Amino acid sequence: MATIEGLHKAPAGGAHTGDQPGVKVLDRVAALERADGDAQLLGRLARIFMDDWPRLRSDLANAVASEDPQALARAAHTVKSALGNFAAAGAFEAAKRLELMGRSGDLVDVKEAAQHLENEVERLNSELAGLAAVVQ
Amino acid sequence: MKVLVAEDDRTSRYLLESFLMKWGFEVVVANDGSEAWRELRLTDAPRIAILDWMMPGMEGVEICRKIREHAAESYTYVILITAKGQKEDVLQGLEAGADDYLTKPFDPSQLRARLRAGTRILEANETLRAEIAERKRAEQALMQSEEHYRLLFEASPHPMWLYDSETRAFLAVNDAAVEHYGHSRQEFLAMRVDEIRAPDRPSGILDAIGRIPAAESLQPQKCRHRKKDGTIIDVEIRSHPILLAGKSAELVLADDVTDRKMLEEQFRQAQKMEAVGRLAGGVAHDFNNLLTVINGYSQITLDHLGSTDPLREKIAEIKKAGDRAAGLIRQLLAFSRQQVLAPRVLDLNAVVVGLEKMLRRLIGEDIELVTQAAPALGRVKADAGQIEQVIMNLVVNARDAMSKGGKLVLKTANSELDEDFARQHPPTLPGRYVMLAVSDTGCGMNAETRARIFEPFFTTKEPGKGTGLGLSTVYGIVKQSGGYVWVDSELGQGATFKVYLPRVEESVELTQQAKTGAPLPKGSETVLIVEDDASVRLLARQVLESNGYTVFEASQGEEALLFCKQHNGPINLLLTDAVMPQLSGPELAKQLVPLRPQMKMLFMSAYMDKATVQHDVLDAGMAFLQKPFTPDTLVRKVREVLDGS
Repeated sequence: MATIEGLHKAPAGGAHTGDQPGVKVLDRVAALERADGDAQLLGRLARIFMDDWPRLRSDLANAVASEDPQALARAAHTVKSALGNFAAAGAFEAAKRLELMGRSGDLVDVKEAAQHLENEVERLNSELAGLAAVVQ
Repeated sequence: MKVLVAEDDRTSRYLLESFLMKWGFEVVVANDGSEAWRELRLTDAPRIAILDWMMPGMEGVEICRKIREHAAESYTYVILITAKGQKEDVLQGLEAGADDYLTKPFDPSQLRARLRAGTRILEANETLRAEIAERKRAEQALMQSEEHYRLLFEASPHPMWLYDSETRAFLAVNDAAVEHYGHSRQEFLAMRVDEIRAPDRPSGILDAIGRIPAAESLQPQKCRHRKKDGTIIDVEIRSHPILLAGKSAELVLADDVTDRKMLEEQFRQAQKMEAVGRLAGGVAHDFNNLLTVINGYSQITLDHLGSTDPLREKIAEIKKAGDRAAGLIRQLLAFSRQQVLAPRVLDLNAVVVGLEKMLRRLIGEDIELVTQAAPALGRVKADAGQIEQVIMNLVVNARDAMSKGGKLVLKTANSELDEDFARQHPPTLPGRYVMLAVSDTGCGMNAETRARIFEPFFTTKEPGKGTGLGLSTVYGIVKQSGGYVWVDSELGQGATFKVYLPRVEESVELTQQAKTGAPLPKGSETVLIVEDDASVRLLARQVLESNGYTVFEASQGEEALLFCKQHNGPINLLLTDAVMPQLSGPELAKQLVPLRPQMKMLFMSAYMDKATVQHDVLDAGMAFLQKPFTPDTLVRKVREVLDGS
């Protein structure tokens, strides 16, 4: 419980994005709820995501580079699924936007959208590292 | 419970796996769709599959479709995971056969509740499957037992059927019923049970049979049925009420007892004839002694009366009545098979030819007499006189049945009676016989008359017209000759009497004509009479003394024995009753032979007791005098024995 309390009071200042005011980078309470209140489990999830991210990012980059909408949709979907577990609304929405682009085949703003997702995940990193830190 | 988690995203997969393990499930994971499908096709595959919709290799909805297409041992409960708000996906997933869905990101408590629901459904499904399997087993067992009972019904050697208690229509019949009654199965099923009942049964009884209470229904009911060809059979019915598809029905087992009843009837008839025969024989024995005295003294008295004596006519009437009574007694003895027969080998054709002229006179001009003599007819061994008596009695009987004229056929034939015939006509023995048939075209007779036709004193003629002894005499003579007599007749259809005598292979013997009418031979020898009946003893003494003989008498064997020992003079002849209390005639004779080896012996009796008379006298070739005797026959017989070597 001490861990949960600690999480709640964690550096709240950095949890807000400049682009989307009022939306937290990661809603720790919601994230913990999704892990059924298990901070250890949440920490392990964070670590898994951080480990996976380079591969996921390269899948996305490849899809963007090759302008393959199907591959883009699939890669973005996977990222979106993973982010959904952390109640990371900004990153989640960014992944979702890319997935929809892939589905619709409208790749006009795809590079900008991909960059936005990268930035969001970049901002999320310190939060995830914080979650992962509680893992024993 | 084993659960498959198919999710390409490691994070989500790890989260799900962690939850499931925490909740006590056994977890199998798959990184993509193809791996998931492989896992689901293994034996002991996961019962619940949590499938991510979008996966490389194979999408969740595709796996779902494949699971449902693939007939598996047990049901797989499928939960699809979709992105939030994609309503079309949800519908498509459910159409593809998913049982439930979850949206990402999922709420753990909701996932847990949905897994519980899935588990419940699987367990209910399991119970249902077990119940169905059990029911199938039970159905199979029932079918098997039904098959057994159907076999019992079908293969029963007795006719069986099932009929509706209300409509009385046949519901089922077995092969034995079809075979026995002659109706096809289709015909039976279009009939009602009453249609096989013989029509002469009163309807009241029929109704009563229909209402037999269950407790009494195991007692066989006797009734008469009619086969398709019209034959009436006697059956014993066992009926049992049963419920068939909610309707009350009767299960019936029928036992054809026609043959058994007929044999029982014949057996009863044979026993009755035997009993009546014994009774008649006993009566005849007593009457013979009385008649010997009555007739003997009448004769003696007549011999002493002058031709103009006023008493002569009266005594002659007594004598005539006595003679008639003696005739009746002879017939009774014939019936009870206690006559002395003189069997010899005969040709029945010759006997018939010898009688033909007399028979024509006997039957009159209105009746045509036809004789059909079989060529190469076998021989029989019988008493010629008695066989003539048989033919005459049958012819007279036929004549009396044809008061308005008709045709009378006398037929002879060789006949072989086989095992079948013997079984149906007890106590017939199978073998070679010579048959003599007497047929008429007269009034015939019904079954009741037929059954009693050979009983003594049974007659259908008006009082005073017949003695009721004619056919009983036929019966007795035929029986005593080792043969059988049967009658075939229906009312209004005439009658045929068939006499079967055992065929013998010896050749015909020539007859010796007895001398009658010659003057009575006198004598001077000494005769010892042994007779327990005092009147017969006295009569014999007076007859013999009046013809010159010296006579001594004894009332029983011991007395005779003593006399023979003490008497000094000669005794030329022992005239003894064969059947006496204490010492019998033959026993007495045996004891006297060493004492008086020269003494001749003559036995007399009316009663043909097998042990004493038949065996010790007739079979031993001893001289014999049948009672009642007339003084004439006594005197002639005594002379004959004394003169014999």
